[in-house]
Amino acid sequence: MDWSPIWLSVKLASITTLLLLLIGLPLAYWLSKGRSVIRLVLEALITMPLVLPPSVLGFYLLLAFSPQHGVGKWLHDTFNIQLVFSFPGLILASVIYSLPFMVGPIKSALQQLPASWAQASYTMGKSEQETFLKVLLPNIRSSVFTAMVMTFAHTIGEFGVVLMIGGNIPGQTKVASIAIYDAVEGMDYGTANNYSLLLFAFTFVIVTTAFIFNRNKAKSPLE
Amino acid sequence: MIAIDIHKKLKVGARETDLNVKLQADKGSLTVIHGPSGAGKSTFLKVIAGLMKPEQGTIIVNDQVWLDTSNNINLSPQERRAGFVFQNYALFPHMTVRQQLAFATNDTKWIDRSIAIGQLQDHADHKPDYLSGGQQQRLAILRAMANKPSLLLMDEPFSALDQTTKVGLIADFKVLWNELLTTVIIVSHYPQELAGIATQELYIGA
Amino acid sequence: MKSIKPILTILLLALSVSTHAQTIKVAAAANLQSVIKVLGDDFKKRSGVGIEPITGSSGKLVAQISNGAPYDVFLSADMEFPQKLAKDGFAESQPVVYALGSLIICSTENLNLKKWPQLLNNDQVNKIAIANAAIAPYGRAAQESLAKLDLLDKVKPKLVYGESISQVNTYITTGVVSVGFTTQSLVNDPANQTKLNWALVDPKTYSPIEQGMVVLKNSANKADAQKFYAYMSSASAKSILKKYGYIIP
Repeated sequence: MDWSPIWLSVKLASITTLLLLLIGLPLAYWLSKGRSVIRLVLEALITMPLVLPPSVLGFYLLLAFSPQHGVGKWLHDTFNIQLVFSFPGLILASVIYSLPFMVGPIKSALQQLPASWAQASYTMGKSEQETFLKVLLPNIRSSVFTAMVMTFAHTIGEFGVVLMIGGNIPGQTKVASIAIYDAVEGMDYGTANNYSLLLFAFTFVIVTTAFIFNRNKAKSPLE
Repeated sequence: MIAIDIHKKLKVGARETDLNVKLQADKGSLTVIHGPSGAGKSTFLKVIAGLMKPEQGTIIVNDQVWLDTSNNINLSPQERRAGFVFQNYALFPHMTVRQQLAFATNDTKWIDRSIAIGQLQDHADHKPDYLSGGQQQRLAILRAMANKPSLLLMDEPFSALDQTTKVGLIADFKVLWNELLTTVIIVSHYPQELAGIATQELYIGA
Repeated sequence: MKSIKPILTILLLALSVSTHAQTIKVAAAANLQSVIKVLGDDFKKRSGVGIEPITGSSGKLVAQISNGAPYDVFLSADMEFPQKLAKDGFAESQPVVYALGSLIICSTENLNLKKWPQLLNNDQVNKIAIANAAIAPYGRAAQESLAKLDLLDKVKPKLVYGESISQVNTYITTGVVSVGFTTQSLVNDPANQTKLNWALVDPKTYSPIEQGMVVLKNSANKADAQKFYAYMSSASAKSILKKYGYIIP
């Protein structure tokens, strides 16, 4: 059996989760600080990938990064990077697509912390950054962990966006979900079955392990 | 010498009221603030600490200008470093007693002394949820004192303590405050408990 | 007469129900996307029966039909897929060729496609769209042609696979690929607004794209299905197909 689709999916989900951790933590922190109009608009934008059909997102990414005009053309001419039909392109798409899964839980968790904790830290002379890292973050660990697990699982299952901008290139953009779809379309139900079971088992084990590990303070993703 | 003069708009539910407070206190003095709930006592403390900004006002602490709205001076809470004891203690759940104090200061001798004053030797490596209400309150006060601030602000700091503990603790801290020449401002619903050591009283009403 | 009203109502209802039933579901290979609508309108004018086209790659449609999809007629882009259906008992009879497809290479960029085999190795050509050969006969033909011209291995890194001719067309018309292999009917379609640059792929480099059709056993409306099947071999259908770039055998 060709393992490359599985490996591609795992690689994509892992890189996306790590990137989103770096992007999502500061973003969630900034969003949690207040309720200005800018914040509300930004939060709505971040939530869009949750409600937009993935093919819509994929379609607009296709147009936005076409190497014939705009940003896509600039990237192609200057750096020889193409964000459609490439693995880096899938990473970018996945980061956008799974962004709400990382930012949402972390922002909620931060908002639930008493404001007096950060305030106490400031009066002790600690900067906002130090306060965030040493006082706030250690107390939302389980939410961060849950957010990472949900982001990972969500990216593994990504299909509509990848179908639009992946180009189904074996070893590069033919991730497991596309490989399964391909196999079904070509009536190779054996392969479809194998990939599906593998993906299901893998994701199930990860999510279950995460929840057991988090048992004391685990929050169901539906909360 | 502390000189405070501030005007802040307060929102209590749907009502908007004005908070106007003038306060002068000598270095090393102890001021007790009392008054009805919702009048703005806690807000007043937060304004002094730099955690909230008034519409108008000046705050001068020992010849340092902390706030002067007409001249656009507004030091951050980090720059002011006023010791603050919150009503809900604001203890960090993930740090032990020793770690909380170490977060505020590097002075290990002082940390050891603080732990002794608070009678927390047996719990130095325990996290706050292990401590009783009274122990938590002592820790909150000690943490606020940890970096030897020149101004100490306390929002109902003795509410969880029984009478005997309270009297003993106040006496212990008074020694410390005299030693460090800390200027103290305490919000309390029971100003009588501090009658013996308070230099002045301030009433903030609705 | 008091009874006229209820009788009229029932009559009207009956009429509307029966006119509503006069459509058949036609599963059509993706390359027929534009021409099937024109064929449908013409068929309706002549027979009063409307069609509901369902387009997709031939392979995908066969998979759906094999699993019980309620279609009446299947217009494939090859003979193999409908033959498979006949063998597996899903078709009323063996497939019949209704048209021959033409493969073209197409682009929105300003490239000289007359000598396209040499052009493909050029750095100017970045990505090449081709339909998935396993499920789209035009993709199979394109792959065959590339192999015949000894280009397949060289251009493989540039290949991008669309799940059907429709997706290949999307890639071509939005300009995300430099060139794509698709059906002639894309450029013959009067509804196409994009300016396209194209050249015919030499038919000698690939096996003829014999597009076959069958009436499906699962059809709920065999009579109308047969009517459409017969219509597809009629002179008017043939002239429409020719206009869209198909070759009539």
